[in-house]
Order: sequence, then structure tokens, then C-alpha cells
Amino acid sequence: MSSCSREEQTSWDIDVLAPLAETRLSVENLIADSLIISASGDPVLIRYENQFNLIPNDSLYYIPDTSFSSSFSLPFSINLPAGFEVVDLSQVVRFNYKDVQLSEAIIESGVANFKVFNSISDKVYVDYSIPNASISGQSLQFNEIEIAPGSNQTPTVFEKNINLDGYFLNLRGDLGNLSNQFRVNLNARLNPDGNGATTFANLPILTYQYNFRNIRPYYVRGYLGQSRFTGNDFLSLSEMKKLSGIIHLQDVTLNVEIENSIGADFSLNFQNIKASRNGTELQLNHPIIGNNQQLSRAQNIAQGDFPYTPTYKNYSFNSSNSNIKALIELLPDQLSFAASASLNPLGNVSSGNDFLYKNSNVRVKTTLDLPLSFSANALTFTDTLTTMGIESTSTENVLAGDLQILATNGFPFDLLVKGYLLDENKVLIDSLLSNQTILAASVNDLLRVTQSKQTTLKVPVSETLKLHLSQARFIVLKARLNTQPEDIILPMYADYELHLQLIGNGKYRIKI
Amino acid sequence: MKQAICIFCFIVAMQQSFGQNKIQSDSTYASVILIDYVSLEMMQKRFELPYTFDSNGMVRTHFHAFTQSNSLPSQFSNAFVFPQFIDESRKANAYNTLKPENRFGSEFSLEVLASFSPDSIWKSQGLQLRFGYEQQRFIASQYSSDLFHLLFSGNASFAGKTADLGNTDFTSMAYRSFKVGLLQRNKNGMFSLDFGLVQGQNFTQFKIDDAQLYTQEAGSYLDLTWKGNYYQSERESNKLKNQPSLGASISIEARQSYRGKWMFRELVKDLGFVNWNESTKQIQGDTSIRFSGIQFNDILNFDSYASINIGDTLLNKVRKDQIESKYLVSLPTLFRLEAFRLMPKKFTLGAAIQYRYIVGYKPLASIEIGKTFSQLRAVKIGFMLGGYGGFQTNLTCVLINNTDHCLSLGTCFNEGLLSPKKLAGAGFHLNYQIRL
Repeated sequence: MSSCSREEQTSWDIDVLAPLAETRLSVENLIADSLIISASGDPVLIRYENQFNLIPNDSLYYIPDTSFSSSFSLPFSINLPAGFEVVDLSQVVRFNYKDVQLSEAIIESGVANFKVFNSISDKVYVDYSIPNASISGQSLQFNEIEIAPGSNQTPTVFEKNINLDGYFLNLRGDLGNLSNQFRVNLNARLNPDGNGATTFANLPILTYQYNFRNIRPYYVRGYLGQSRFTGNDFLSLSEMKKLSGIIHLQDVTLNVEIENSIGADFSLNFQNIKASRNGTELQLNHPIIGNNQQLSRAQNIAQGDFPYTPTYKNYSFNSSNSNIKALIELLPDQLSFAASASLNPLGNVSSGNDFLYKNSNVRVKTTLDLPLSFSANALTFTDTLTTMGIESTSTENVLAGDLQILATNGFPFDLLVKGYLLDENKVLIDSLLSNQTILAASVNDLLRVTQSKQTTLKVPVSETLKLHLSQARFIVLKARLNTQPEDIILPMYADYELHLQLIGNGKYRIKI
Repeated sequence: MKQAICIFCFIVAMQQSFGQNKIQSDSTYASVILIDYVSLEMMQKRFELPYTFDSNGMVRTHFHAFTQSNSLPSQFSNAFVFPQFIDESRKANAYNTLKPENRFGSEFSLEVLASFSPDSIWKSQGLQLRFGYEQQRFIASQYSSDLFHLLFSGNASFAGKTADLGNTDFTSMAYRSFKVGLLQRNKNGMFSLDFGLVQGQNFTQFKIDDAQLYTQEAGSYLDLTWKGNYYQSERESNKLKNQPSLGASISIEARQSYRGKWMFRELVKDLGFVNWNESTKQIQGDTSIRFSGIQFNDILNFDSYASINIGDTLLNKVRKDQIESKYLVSLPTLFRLEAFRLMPKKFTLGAAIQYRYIVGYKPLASIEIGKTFSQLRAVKIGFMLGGYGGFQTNLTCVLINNTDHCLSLGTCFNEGLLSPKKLAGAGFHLNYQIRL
């Protein structure tokens, strides 16, 4: 203290005992709220959900872009009289895809484009129509399109883009007994009020081009053929990544729902359902795995917001009919599914009445219900936190003292918490808290915690630690937990929480 | 607690400014200066020196600064005047003298008054105009023993206990006055009336009627309940931008001599107010606060907490009801009654009672005995009880005293000389007057 008397400031020391920071950790901090479905007061129930389409887009039926071009000329030079019919074309357009035989379609989007090049020295009048394409009862046709005179060197070009959105296409052909086709008509004639025109041998007098682009049907009907599809997807259990060790769960239920909204039958085969973690895999054992399941067609009857009525098939896997519990006790980071589906396994049993809407598919919806009831032995929770460095400012007047963590544990497991400080290269530079266990709260006969347990942990503070805290860019937090009493499966409740308080108890110098 | 420390720091900062100027303080300056003034005239008369109104006027300067307490040892308060470390031994001494109700006061005053008669008519009638300038600063407080322990030892010793912080008042006020007045003299006395334009410079006041701080045994939470008011004038940096805080004052003084041996004096000084401007921060609190640490709602994502200051967090809880508004405050008016008698063998005897309207100030009674030597030099010893402190003594020396000049210098020896060596009360005063 003698040195203190030489200081130029009035100063004195005080002993401070005060809370500095606090936090509360509950199940909701560890698991996203959206995953918790249990009612208040009930043991926590976690639900993971996933949905995927087994049939890839455009794999059942697809209308490819189609184009056609034709040029008309005469083998000799001639004077064409006024009103001469230059072209009278009627052409069938076919859309073939695999063994699909469509009889009708409703177009959601797409464009028909046609272009006429007039090389005649008089006006030409053109009629264009697709009789089997109609909207609101009106077939698609354009009459008396006037094209100005042109020449062989500089033909006059007429171009029209026709928006096919909403058009109904009758694809049955002229006689109504075919599929995948419709007819396009084009008629061109010289100006009937003109003086006629001279054409030259072997030079085009009229050129015609058309194409159908980006045709996307909203609905098709016919025979969808026979195809086989395979699909796979996975249910992400990312929270499980943070866990390691031994855990015994009360029960697990995996529900798989298959929805068929396609107007065709399927034969479905679950090839495998497996859990994997760090290269270790465990497959689900259940009678349906590897065996074909029949999935009947949807009905073309509107239901709710949909124009169809799907059919469903449900499968439930639990600890009594499968080894699903063992899969989850592996603490997998994902649960993967592989399945195949065969379309129309019995052929064209609908007599060409298969149908497909834009959003139709075979959907596989998986739901994993995981009651948070477990017995854990050295189960370790590991999480990596990022930080820009933890720095205490204005601490130069802190002379001495220590920090304590007052842990009030409302969970029925004890915790051994460690923190590892890593620099920006993820190199270990220091560690926090060692060999101090946060004691478990005790449970009553109903295995429910009625009173929290308080533990005080000493936090050694040194200048080195302060430096390392400021340098830390990652903190690896490891919490090893053991449920108490051991080997008894304990339900966790949403109101359980771990309350942590950082308390400073030290000597502080006030200078004025 | 931090807020209280800040306020205390403010007190000490004020005291440090005294220290930097190497000025000690005295609680008895007021009586000394007035007795000086009276004694000059009385002595002139006693020694049959010409007593006339032929002077053209007078310039009088006065400066004093002091600290005083009823419970703080000088050794403790000196650590603020002459900055040094307050060790546990000093604290222990201070704790031993603490009382259920503790007071502390500090005053700093600079005053220049010039009076003159504008013409011969005024002069013949004993009338003078007077102009003056004053710079005043007061710090006054009363506080509980627990608050003192909390400030100087921290809250650790209160673990599991409640510290009673109630019945605490603190006022710090600084202002300057520009005065103009009239002074009327006659052969039996004088009367003066001065009006002042007051400009407020700095003001802090808190009054805690009731407050407790409970420190949980393990330190897991602090419970603060308080009921009181807090006022703080604007910062120095804002004063050029805002309207000044102005006020007005009036001072009245009368002196009468009786039978050539007695002199009586009545004084009311700085009766007035300052209207602190609209930027004055005000908190009127009646609330309970539990602090259990800064809340980290998502410790697993704490990088989102960029920077948190614990002190700010605590203060923000208290400041949440803060408003800014004008605030009218009365000045710390001084009321004084005084009697003075010439005694045989060139001794003088004076007695006075005074009161200052400010927190923590008790009526002050004083007695002063003087002895005049050759060339009208004099020494006076005073005894007093009250004010911000308890029993105190003072010593004043009149170094020069003639018809043109009077210079006196005084200080206190109230610790260990004639009074118990345990209570604070260090001071200094200087008076000089010149007859024109």
C-alpha cells in the first residue's frame, strides 16, 4: 500500500460481489421451436418431417420443341393471275415421347410461332389454323393476313407468335382414334384485286416456317406408358450431429405416407431406409423393405383445391415392428430413403384414361416422432460457436478476484462442461472449466424434476486467459451428460432449464 | 452503486480543484470576515481615530474554501484534497466516527464588491452605489452509514444483507452573480440592499427518501428499491447551444452600533432562485430493480452480442424514466445574526448564529474572542458548533489594518488543537479591502 500513497489520484479499493451475466438454456435453445410439437406440460416430443417427389419433373411426359420449314417454287417462269392460290398446306404435327399415347392436353404455357416470306411482287393473303387447338370453344385460326409485295432479293416477312396458354389440344388425330398429334393448315393466295405477278423458275415464291416452343401442359390424358423411376432423399437430423455417446431412447416412430396424385397405377419398392453417422450405416429392417407395394391410381375427381383425388398408402415403423429405435440411437445426422416406382405395371389397363396434372406426383412424406425421453451415459453435446473475440474492457482497475458460475440445473442429468478456445486457424489456444460437474436435479416417483439443483463452479481467471479470450474466434463447447438416476429413461419437459449466472467477486480500485 | 460512486467522484473532483490551487478551507470564514469589517470601524472608534464618511468608496475582496463534516475525519477527507490512496486504516477510522446521520459540506466562494458615492450629495448623505461579482460553489450532503460503507468498501460485506441507503440528500450547485445595490451609512450603522442576476453553471441533486440494496448471499442478484428524485443540469458542452439557466437574488444587510461598545448585524444573503433550463435531466423514481446479470438469451449464438457494458445496463434500468425539463431551485441562502462587543484591554467578543438553506446544514452558533495589538493588528480565536459539522475552532490574523487597507487571513485548527482530533474541518479564508 505504500506505493499507493504515491499515486496522484485519490483512490480506494472496494470489494464487489455482483452478477455479471446470466443465461438460460432450455430444450428450446437446443432444438428448433418448429420441431417441438408437444403440448405445454407434456414431455417434449420432437418431430422431424420431410417430403420428396419420387417422379422427377418432365419425366412422365414432355412435349419437345418442334419446328417445320417449307419453301414453294415453280420449275418454270410464269405469270400468276390475280387471286392465284400459291399454297394450300395441311400438315400433321406429332409429339412423341417414350411410349406415351396422349389423347388430349391443356396447355399451361407455350408459344406457336409462324413466319411467311413473300417473294412475289404483289400482296399475298394468308389463312392459318390449328383446328384441334381451341380455347373457350373457339379453334385457333387467323384469316386474311395481308403480306405486302416482296422480291426474291428482299422478301417481305410476316411473323406471328401465338400464345397457347390455356388452349385445349385434341391429340386424337383426324379420325379421333390416334394420339400425340394435331393438324396445322396454311393457305396463301395472290391479291385477288391485283394484276397478278411474275415468278421465276426454281426461285422461292413463298417460304413458310413454324415452330412450337416451351409447351408445358397443365393437364394431359391418355396412356402414360410404362416407366420405372428411382428416387432418394434424406431426413436431416442436424441436431444429432452435435451429440455423441450412448443414449437409450424410450421409443421412436417413423411414419411414411405415400400420396399418388397421378392417374396411373404404380408398383412401389422401398429399396432401403438407413441411418448414417460418420460412415457408419444401419439399415431399417421391416417386411416392406425390398418388396413391391401396389399403389393405385388417383381419381380424376376434384377434391378441395385440387382437380384430382389422390390415393394414399401409410407405413409406420416403430420399435415393435422394426429396428428404428436402434437407428436413431446411432445418433445419425441423417435418415436416408431410396425407393423405386414402376408406372402402369399391368399395362394400359385404363384404356387410355391415365391422366396427369401439372402438380401430380408420387410424394413420399416421412415423419419421425422422437419423444425426448432417454437415458444417457456420457452423452456428449458438442457445438462450435463463432466469436470475434471476447474482450473485457475497463478491467485495469480490477485488482484481484475470481469469477464463479452459479449453475441452477433443472434437468435430471449432470453435466461436465468444457470449453476450448480456438484461434482463426482452429488451433487450440486455451480451455475453460475442467473437471467441475454441474449436478443433476433429482426426480420424483413420476420421474419429473420438482426442484432444481444448484452448483457453484470456479472460473480461474488469469491474464493469459484474458488474452486468449480476446484471440478466440471459435469456442468448442462440450457438455457431457449423464442422466440421474442411471439407466432409467427419463422424460424431458419444456419447462426444464439450466440457469447459468456469471458472478464476479473481487477487489476493484476506484480512482477519481 | 456505480451512480452513487460517480456522484461521490463529482464531490471529490470539486475538492481536487481546491487541492490543485493549494487552498485549504475554513468553516468559519463568514463570521470572521464580518467581524473583521466591523472590528475595523469599532477599533477606529475605540482608539479615537477619525471616523468620517470622507472616503470615496471601498473595494472589498473575499475568498474562502472549506470542507466540513460531522463524521469524516480530516485524515479521510484530506485524501480528496491532497490526492492519495485511502487505505483500510483510514477507512476504519472513518467508519468509527460514522453516525446514524452523516453530513458533509464544501463551499467555495469568490466575491468582489466595489462601493462608491457618485457625487458629493450622495457622499454627504452616506449613500453609496455598490457593484459586485460572486462565484459560488456548494456541495452538501447527508448520507447513511450503510451508503458510506457501500461506497468505500463495496457491497461484498453486505452479502445476504440489506444496505439502507435512504434519507440521503446530495446537492452540488455552482453559480455566478452580478450584483448591483445601495449602501446607506450613518454614524450608528449601515444598511445595504443588493440585487443579483444569477447565472446557474452546474447543478446536481438527488434526494433519496427511501432506498435499500440487497445483495444475495452468493451474489446471484442485487435488489434495489428506491424512492426519490434526481436532477442534473445540462453538460458543459451543451451550454453554448441552449438557453442559459438564469435566476435572481436579493441580499440585505444591516448593522447598528449601540453605546459605542456594541455592534449588531443582520444579514440575508442570496435569497433567490435559479431556473435551470429545459435540458435539466430529471428522474422521479419509486421503483424496484432486480439485477441478475446481463441477459444472454441465446448463449449458443452469442456472437450476436457485439458489445455490452454492464455499468450502462444497470444505469439504463434507473434512467428509463428520465425526462428533461426546466427546474426551479432556490439558492442556498445565508441567514445570519451577529453581536459584537468591545472588551477591556483591547479584547473583543463576538457571537453569531447563522443558517444556510441547503441540505445537511444545521444552525451554526459561534463565539469569537479577539485581541488587538499595535498598529491595529489582531488575532482572533473562534469556537463554533453546527453547520455541516460539529464542534470546531478557528484562528484569524488581521495582518494589516489601517484607514486604507485591511488584510486578514484565517484558517481552522479544529482537529487536534482545541477540538478532538477526529472530525474534518479544514479551511482557508482571505479578505482584503481598500478604501478609495
